[in-house]
Amino acid sequence: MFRALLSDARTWTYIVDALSTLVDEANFVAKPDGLSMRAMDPSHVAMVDFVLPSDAFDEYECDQETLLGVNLDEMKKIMRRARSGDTLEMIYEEAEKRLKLRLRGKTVRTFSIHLLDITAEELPEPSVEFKAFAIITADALQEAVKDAAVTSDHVKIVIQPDKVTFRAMGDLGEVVVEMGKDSEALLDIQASEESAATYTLNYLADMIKVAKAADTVKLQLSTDMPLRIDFNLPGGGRVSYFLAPRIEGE
Amino acid sequence: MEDKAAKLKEIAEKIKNCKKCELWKTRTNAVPGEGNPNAKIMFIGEAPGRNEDLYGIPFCGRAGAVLDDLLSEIGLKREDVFITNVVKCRPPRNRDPTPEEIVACSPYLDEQIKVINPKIIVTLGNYATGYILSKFGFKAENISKVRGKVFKVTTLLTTLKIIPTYHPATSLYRPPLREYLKEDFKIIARELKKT
Repeated sequence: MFRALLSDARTWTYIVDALSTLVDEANFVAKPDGLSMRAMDPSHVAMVDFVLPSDAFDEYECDQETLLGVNLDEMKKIMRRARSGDTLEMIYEEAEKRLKLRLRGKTVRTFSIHLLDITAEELPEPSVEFKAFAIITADALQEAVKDAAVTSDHVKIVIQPDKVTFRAMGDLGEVVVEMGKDSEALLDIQASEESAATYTLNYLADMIKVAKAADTVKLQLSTDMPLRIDFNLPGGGRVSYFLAPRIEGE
Repeated sequence: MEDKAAKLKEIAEKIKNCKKCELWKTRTNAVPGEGNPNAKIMFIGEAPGRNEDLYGIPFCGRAGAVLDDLLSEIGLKREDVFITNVVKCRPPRNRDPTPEEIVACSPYLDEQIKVINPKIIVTLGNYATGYILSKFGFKAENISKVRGKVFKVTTLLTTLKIIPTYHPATSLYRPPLREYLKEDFKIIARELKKT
């Protein structure tokens, strides 16, 4: 049995939006202590690791581990119908292998989606020893990624002991976004050594979609190694992304 | 090895029964691709042509003969590599595949790449090059600009190289391009030695 209620349906809309950018279909794992999903995009360039503990829901019931195989595009279409002020109730109907999504606002709207039988893959977390991290506001990351996209399709992220820099170079120009210790956007920073790597903006642009549901974001990297981005969601949830670095052509 | 072969066979079966776009209505055979499941190198073309559609085998027409020659010149046989296309069914009258057909069909190619886990992907022509470069976050540029370049890709699980070149069919109607193909295949041989 699985049933969960969120008082603000839009939280789920943002989460599904973010998850659906990497994979079309994936298993949510419902456990008594919360809901999670880990999936890798088909190119193996990016991975998402999502956790929403039971406490983050307004109501949550789950008596045993249940795999909910979902077509995320379908779920996204449904969640786009959510209106401001709507609550969301998710109910797993085991007998019919369906997940009901009930949006309650001025009216009560119930959408059902058929669950898919998706082979559960073991996806270990990439093992990276991060040499630097920066915690910045989620909207600052959004703006930095959008600024970088003005001139390029990739961005170099540099974390030094006192600042984080986003540098994008295109054929026609360059964009540099800096967040120093005196910046309101930079909340914490640590670097045992200067760390820098280049990442594809397409992926980052998709990943920052979840920023709408988060206040802060933690960036962790080591030179030419994968980037880890943690978005902390209200109520103790988390969406983490791993993104492989981009290395230029010869 | 058997595991990879079994997985590829499973993907091939899905392709043969696929009705995700309109091309299933006009195909004689779907052409999933063939070759060594443990290949270090994958060759990816655009879509099957008339002969490929008739026999269900990739690159078995005149363009296939050019590819075989190019492979042979660098000491490779078909059994050493895996050959497939972005789109697995023949577009009528060999027209270009539509973006919708590529979107519908490319998950099969993604799965094949995932199973084979090659060290080198050679893209043949604009469509394969555009799809693969974009998939790994590079700007999809015209084949004449990127042919013979080596794009290094780091994923979360492995590293690989993408080497775009012309589609062998182009050398049939533009013979001078055959020299470019030969040059690019030398680069492929050089990179293969490094793996």
